[in-house]
Amino acid sequence: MGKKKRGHPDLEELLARPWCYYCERDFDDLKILISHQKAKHFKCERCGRRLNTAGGKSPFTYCCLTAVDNALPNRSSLDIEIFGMEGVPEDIIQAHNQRVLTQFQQAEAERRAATGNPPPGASQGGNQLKKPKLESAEELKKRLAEHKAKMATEQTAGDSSGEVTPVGVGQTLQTASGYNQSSQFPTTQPPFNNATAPNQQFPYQQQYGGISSPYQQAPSPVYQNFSSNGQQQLPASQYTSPGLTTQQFPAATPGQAPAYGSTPPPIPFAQQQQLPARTHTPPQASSLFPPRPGNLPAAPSLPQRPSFGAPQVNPHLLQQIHHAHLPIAAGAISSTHGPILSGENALIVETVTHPLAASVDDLISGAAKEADNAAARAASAPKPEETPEEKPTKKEKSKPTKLVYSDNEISPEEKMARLPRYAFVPDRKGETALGEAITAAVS
Amino acid sequence: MALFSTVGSSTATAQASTTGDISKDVALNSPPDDSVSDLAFSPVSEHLAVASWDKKVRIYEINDQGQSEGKAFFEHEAPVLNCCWSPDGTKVVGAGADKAARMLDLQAGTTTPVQVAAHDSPIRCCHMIPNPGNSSSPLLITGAWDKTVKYWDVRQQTPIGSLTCQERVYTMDVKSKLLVIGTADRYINIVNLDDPLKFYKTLQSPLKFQTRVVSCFTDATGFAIGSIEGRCAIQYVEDKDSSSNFSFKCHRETPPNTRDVSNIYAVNAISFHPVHGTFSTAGSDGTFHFWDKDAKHRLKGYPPVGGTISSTAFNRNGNIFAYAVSYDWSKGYAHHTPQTPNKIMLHPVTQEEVKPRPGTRKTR
Repeated sequence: MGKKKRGHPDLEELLARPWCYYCERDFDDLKILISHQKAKHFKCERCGRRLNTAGGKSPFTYCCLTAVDNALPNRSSLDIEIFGMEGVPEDIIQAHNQRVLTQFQQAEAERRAATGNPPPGASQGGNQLKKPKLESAEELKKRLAEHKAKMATEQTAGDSSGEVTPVGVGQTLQTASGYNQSSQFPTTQPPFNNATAPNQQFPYQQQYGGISSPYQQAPSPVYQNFSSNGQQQLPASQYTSPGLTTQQFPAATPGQAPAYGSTPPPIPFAQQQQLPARTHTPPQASSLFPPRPGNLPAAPSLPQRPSFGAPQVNPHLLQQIHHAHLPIAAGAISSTHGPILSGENALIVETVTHPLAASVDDLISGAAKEADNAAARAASAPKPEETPEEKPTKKEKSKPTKLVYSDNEISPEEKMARLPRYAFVPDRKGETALGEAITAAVS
Repeated sequence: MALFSTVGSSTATAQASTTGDISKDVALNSPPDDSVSDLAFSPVSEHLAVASWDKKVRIYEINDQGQSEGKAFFEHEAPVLNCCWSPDGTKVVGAGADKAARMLDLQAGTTTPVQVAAHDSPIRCCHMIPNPGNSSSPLLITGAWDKTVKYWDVRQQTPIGSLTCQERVYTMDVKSKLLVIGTADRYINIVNLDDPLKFYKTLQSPLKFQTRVVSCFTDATGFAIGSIEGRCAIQYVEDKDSSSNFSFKCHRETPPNTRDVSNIYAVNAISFHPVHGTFSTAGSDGTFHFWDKDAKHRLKGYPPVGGTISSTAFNRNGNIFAYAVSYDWSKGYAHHTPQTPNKIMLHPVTQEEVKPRPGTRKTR
């Protein structure tokens, strides 16, 4: 597959474009720039002559101007002799490049926001701190082994996804019993209580609610039944500072629980949830982290990222949160086919085994791919056995019936044989043969 | 054999496209007056037997140029639904709505057929197999709408064996020791002819609609089923091969002006190529196609021939493909007009059309 032609230019291309010193427009090539300058900036208004440079105007004192026409306010001086790109002062070039760069980055960020593509280079997650997650080989192996054991038990026990969640580390096992956490589901929010999602979508683990009060639980369909074994697998979405507790997570997939504000929100819902163009810099995060062009935009196929109120989480925890963040989303997306947890776990293994790739980005695209694949599977599922293609034929038939011969009980021959024309009237006349040449010999 | 030698070489050049050429097909001279119910090539020579609704079975000889000549015919008292040849090519049997099967011995020089089988209802299919005891006197197998399959020694008045099926017998095919019986209500019975009086296996057709035709593989390891719902199933006899079973859609079309409707036509005939093991399907949509079941792809498709195709046959070495363009009643009485074509076409088969393409063949 050839490289896809992109609809937007490279940074190099942008920087290489010639541009007009006087008005900062850029052009496809130098010739156009020069003709632009001649026409716009170097044209003598009185005599209509087009001069090559601004200085060229000077001799014609009777008609030349003291300043360059149509120029930006501070660029209209005749002191600098400009021809095309020649003569532009170095500092101005630098400033221009800087501006191009910023514009490019901004455009890039917008594109990412629009397309959901991950930024190039890997190591930044959505709201993630830059500090890379580093684990020693031992730790990795240990976790992998743990995970394998977990998977094995899941396999053998044939457990539901919820039961696989290890109990421990201050965490209670919850599947449907998550409904019992009355504090998590204030009855004052009827719209959110009538969600008719399957039970497994509410495995709200309230582990941290029990341990440290700052972590309110804002269970999300995306981060459902994510299991914590105390190491890395903290449910990502469940941290909000008490002051900023309203988190709504738009339903990621149909049938999932919409969202649950965990506590009566001090801040109105709408203000926080429906940030329409939640592109690359979540407002809350921006207070913590400076906006970076490469900040992860929302992928279209993924649920909206939670808007974190700056959580009072220690960095280690936060890091884990972010590490766990996207894999879960991926798992949730793939959940239409098969146990959620297993998919999620598989993806976690992936993150575990490639920590240095910091594969959050890969996971996003992986999740997107998986979603696509799932969709493709779903689309192709009804007729998996049809291998050869359907044949196009040309015979026309206007009748909108599906089966041309639709009687499933009786064959056309039987119907035909019943017709009077073909009816068999047994008459014992005996076999007769008409007189036609019959040669018997067949070699 | 350089049959149709002139046209054969020219069609060979048009290999690249998947759409075949039927412009070189030759019509059979003096075809039957009414719809053709069955075609059968002699196993030993270039003779074609044609059963027709006009109550006759005709035997044509085809020469190297594809020209044909009527050689013999015999008559039933009612429409003939099926015909077959004896393994030595000396006898032709027709089975008809007159509840009888009649045999013409071509060597005897007579024009009068002998009744060799009788059922309580019209006989839908007939096949002849070598008699293991007496090679000069083949056995006849007939399947009828009275839900029975009977074995006949053609010299005796009574059947030498009989099988009762679940439903009316609609189609039957034999290849070496494999007999496959397709009945109404989608039953498929498999009989091992070494033990002809019991079903080796019975199954419901994997297709969800009425079975139209069954046809045994050339290597007799399985069979193909065609249904009225534009679908064809490949079914192996033994369970160990069941992973290779599949079905596919064919003989369907979306009319050009209405995109949301697709017309689904019956698969009327499936014929396996005697050499390459590929097969043809032909349907009420008036097209036929060549397929490779092992590679699971279509080798060649052909443009509509102008009318429904009721029956097809390969000759013994697979270089002639005969198809009967005649009304199959799939659209009822109203569509049977005098303008409905009724002809038998001989398609010269080139190797490229029917040979499995190298590299695409899957190992089973």
